[in-house]
Amino acid sequence: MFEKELAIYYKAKSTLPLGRFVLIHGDELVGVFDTDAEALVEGARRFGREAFLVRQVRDEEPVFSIPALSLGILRAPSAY
Amino acid sequence: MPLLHIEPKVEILDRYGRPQAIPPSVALQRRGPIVQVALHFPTAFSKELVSRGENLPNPMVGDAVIDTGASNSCIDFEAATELGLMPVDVSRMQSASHSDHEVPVYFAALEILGMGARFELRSMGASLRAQNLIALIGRDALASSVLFYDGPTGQATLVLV
Repeated sequence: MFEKELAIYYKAKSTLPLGRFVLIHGDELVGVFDTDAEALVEGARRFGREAFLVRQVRDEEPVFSIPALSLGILRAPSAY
Repeated sequence: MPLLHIEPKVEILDRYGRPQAIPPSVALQRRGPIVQVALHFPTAFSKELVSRGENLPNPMVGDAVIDTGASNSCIDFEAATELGLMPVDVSRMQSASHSDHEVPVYFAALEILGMGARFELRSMGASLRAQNLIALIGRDALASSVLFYDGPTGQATLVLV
């Protein structure tokens, strides 16, 4: 998913302003925005329901933690 | 301030197959703080689609669990697909059983029904349908909320600040 867009993102990353949001569609880096909502609006305006990438520029990509899912403990049977 | 009292109702079947309510404190411990939510297109995106003459789907209504252990909110893959939401990114999620894995990220609006609270968040896709959930409300949404968890009475209260 987003192979082309991510290739463009990583190629351009060192030149992109940290903290802002990029909009990428296919091989095209469409623009840089202050908020992800602004990037989303522009993506919807240009591409409608076609897939496009909206990503915040960061030094390191975050890894998210959802223990209930990763540990498989969501609604595990209780002792009751 | 928008406020919602949460008191999950849980029934179990007795030895004769008859449903029996379990005490509120046990119901909350067993089911967790569950709220009814509606999953929508985000406002900015839906306005743009409407301006293009496209019809918007009805929101999907279902249950969500409030999970203070989750850094971010999640929405069910299938619910997102049925609603017509497109991923806008991918991210890495920690896993206990194998290396971090990639999940789609959606920009979605999550409305907590009965409260008038609406969060527009980047939410990770997860498989929640088997748990009869369409969303998991994480600390990104709770960043603007106060949650009181009252185990002895089996009630929780969510306040949007």
